[in-house]
Amino acid sequence: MLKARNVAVALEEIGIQKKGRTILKDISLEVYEGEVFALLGLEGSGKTNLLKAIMGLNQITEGIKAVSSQLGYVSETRALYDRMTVSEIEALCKGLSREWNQSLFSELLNKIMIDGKSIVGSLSKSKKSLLYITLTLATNPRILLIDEPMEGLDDLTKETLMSLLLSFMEDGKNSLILASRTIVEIAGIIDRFGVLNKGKLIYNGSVDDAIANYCRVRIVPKKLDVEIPNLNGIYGLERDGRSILVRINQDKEEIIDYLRKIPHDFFDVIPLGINDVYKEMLREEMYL
Amino acid sequence: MMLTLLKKELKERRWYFVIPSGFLLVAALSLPYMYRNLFPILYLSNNFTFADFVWGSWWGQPVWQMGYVFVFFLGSNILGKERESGILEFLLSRNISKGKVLASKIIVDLSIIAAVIVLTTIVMLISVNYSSIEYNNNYSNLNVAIFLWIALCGAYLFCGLLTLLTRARWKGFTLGLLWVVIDLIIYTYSQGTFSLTRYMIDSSIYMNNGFPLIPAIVVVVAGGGIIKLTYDIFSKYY
Repeated sequence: MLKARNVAVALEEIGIQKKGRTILKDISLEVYEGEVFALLGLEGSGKTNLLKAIMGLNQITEGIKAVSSQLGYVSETRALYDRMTVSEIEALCKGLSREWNQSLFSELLNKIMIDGKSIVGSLSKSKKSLLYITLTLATNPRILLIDEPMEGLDDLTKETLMSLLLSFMEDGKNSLILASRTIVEIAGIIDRFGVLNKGKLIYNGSVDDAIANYCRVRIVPKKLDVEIPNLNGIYGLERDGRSILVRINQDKEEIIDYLRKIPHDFFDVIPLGINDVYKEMLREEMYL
Repeated sequence: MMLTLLKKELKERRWYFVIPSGFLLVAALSLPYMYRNLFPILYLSNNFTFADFVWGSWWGQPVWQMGYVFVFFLGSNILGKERESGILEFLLSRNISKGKVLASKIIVDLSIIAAVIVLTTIVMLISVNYSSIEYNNNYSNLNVAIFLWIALCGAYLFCGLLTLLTRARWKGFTLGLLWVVIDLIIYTYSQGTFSLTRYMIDSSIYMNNGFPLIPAIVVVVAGGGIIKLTYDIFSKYY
């Protein structure tokens, strides 16, 4: 099923049903080696379920899943045995994984500045999160899945986490899949992203493509009764007095050219950053 | 991998061994004193076997009744720390199957129950021997201990199963008490033939009939069924 050598994860029309309820439907996507892919969506959109499905923790009821190599999973709860010391949990993970890399673990533990004698439950949320990720990285995964990577982290920890993730991606053969509610903090490292809404994948593409396709145009036409036709690529119109805000998600240039031809007193193309594009994608679903 | 899981479970559940052992050791050491001072007639009568002294006597019965409470605690905590959200995922994401997680818990728990019984029996044996109490020492001692273990294991599995089904420790614990009620009903209606409790406390049954092979097979098969059911429920709903 893997179409190219460098595909790390391939999903073909997968679906999950739980107790008669559809959790995920017709999800098809590919994540390549050396790529950082983000799964974005609002609370309850199905991100965690999809991540768990890739990991094998959720049973897929439809479609096909193929994974090329060893997976590592960092759950949203970051739940660890709170009464254990860091050394004890290290010994546990070492015993449970054949791929355990002791030197990498020691190096990373030094980097995140956690003492082996510390009790896991006494660590701050940020430190615990870093420890969880370190324990996962030490199992030498080729594909790392992280649910809500930045949630609950302080700014310093976010920086440390970024540096851990960048070192993980350094050799170009590893893949990283992040599930997140927001894109702001991870925008700098992701190559492609998918947006989930109510269990369906509404966008799957690169950051650059998304930015290139989306924009807003504010136009104040000379005539009050100007009708903007329902062109393919316009997914939203908002009127505020004479001013019209046009939301565009494809064929940007053609639509802008068309709109520019409408006699107007004011015309402005508003480019969107990735964060706004993501919000537009979610908004687009509301318009549909 | 399994060894690491077993070690973790042993460490996590060590208090389930230490606390009942402590309680039973005090009971074991005080047994000869109780008999000599409180029931001198019984003490002189020499009608009891050692097993009767230990498990079937006025002092021994509360001991195994406490044993039930102990295994209900153990059974209702069958998921241990893994009942907390996410911890099970932590293990499963390390390619540990649910079966291994559950098996490690059941193996450790059944071993803890056996260890408590063995330790207490040995201490009681020593304690009673040093006390100059006379008793009829015969093979039934081992039989009683084995059946005590089987009965407690059954109660443990029953309670564990109910805990997994109800997804609540207190419900599992409370409903686990049904085990005792069911056994009591069976005891009454079958005049003890199929009651585990009788095999636990009544050594005369062994003296007359030897080791009760058929009830033992029934219990082992039923226990296997409960384990399978527990595994299925655990795999499906957790």
